Amino acid sequence: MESLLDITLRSLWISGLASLVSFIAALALSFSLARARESVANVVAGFLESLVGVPTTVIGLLTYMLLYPRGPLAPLNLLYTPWAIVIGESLVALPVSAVVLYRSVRRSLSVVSELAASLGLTSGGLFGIVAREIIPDLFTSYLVGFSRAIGELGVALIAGGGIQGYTNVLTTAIALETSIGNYEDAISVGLVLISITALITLALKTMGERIWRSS
Amino acid sequence: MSKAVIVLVLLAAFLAGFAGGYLFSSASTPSGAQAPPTRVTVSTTTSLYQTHLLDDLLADFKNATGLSVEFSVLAKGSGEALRLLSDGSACLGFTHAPSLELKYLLNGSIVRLSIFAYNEFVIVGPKDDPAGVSNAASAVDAFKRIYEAGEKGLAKFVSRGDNSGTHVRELQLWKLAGLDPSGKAWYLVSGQGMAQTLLMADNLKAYTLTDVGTLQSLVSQGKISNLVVLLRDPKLLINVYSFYVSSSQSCRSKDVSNLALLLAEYLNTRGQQLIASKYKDLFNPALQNLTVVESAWVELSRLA
Repeated sequence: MESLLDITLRSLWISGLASLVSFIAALALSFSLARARESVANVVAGFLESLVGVPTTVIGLLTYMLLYPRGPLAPLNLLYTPWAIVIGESLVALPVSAVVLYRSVRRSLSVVSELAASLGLTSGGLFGIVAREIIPDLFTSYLVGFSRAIGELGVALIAGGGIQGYTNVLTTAIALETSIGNYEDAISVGLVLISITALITLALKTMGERIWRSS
Repeated sequence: MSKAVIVLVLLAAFLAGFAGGYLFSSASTPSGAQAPPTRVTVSTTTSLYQTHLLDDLLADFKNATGLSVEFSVLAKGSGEALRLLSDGSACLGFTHAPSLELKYLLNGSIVRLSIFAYNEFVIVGPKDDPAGVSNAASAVDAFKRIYEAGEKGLAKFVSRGDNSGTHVRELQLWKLAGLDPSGKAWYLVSGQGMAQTLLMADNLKAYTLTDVGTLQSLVSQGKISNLVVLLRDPKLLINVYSFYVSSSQSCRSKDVSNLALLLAEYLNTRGQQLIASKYKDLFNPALQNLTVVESAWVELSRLA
């Protein structure tokens, strides 16, 4: 097994980047949904909620089909690279990030919009107020996406391949060590995964609360 | 609004830190300093990966030829490994499932470059052997005995169920025995790799079919407490490892075909010595017995 530190750092940047991509997409999605007609928004939000539980193996297969030599994105040559995992994991993280964010934006908007109208604020100003109101939820949205991305196996294994020294991340290392009967190493990688997710979640949540209180 | 911007900037900085740390750590290794080597994807059956034979062969090949090539090794069951080859997702492949290989050979999606090693499958089971497998005349007879004991509630059998080389062989044996165990309460399908299936059989005191490489590596780690080898059958249980190149469009570059030919040549010469010297308990070099091994491959490939 390659060094645990290398695997951990690789996991962090891949899943961190993937959940950042999906967070930005979720931000755009939830603000535009909050402005859309309520009936339309409800349908889309319901659809997103139903996607939260899609097995990551399915998304892994989908990513594979996009990137493999006969797939539509084959010319990019991304299969079995870290970027393939970034693409797949941002698809994995998007629904849950968007669902969390949309609920919060909608709630905050309904509280603030009358006030904003009476003050004659532009929509840009309105969204500024909403964004400040929901700072803790912005962090939560990013974090749920991050923990879903870093903890998923399907994409990393099918589109990433778990290649030693290249695309092997925490979850594929667990799967690989398990598949060769090396349960001891597998469990120690698992403990690293759990403690990292917990630490990052705690740190970012505290940071979010602080920024929100001081604003 | 400005606070939201600060939040985003902080997040981005946080991530950039991780990415930077990763890039720095990989840039500081000596290989990062040279020109990036070409990367070739190799799909392999897990037994070659687990015993480190493939790693050793590829490293020795690089030493011998001095080529700056990086192999991305995907450890999969033979069924998946062959699928990846025919997709062109992997260009080179090492597998041990003759009847599956034949299908892909016939539709032209892969080309065989070498039969480089063989060993055997063995039937393992609990020491007290309730089905009497150790007295069986052949592997087919052993499977009949397991079936009967299973029906009487005396024995269990764990199947891989993952379309791997070992699983395919197991299904061939049931077919030769004229029996169909699927759906029986004593016939457990693990759907997992060989090591996990062996550990499962060990915990359940059940029978299973395994390649000797994986079994040996678990035994030497002291992880097997109940299972013993009960039957060998050189004729029906020979396990042949072959090397393939994908004929998919994405693998037709001159670099890949040259590399494939060089690797095949290596496997048939220096690689044979490495197998014979370093892995003599686990694998046999195929070249010294090529006619026997090849005819075994042909016979096995015809068993649907």
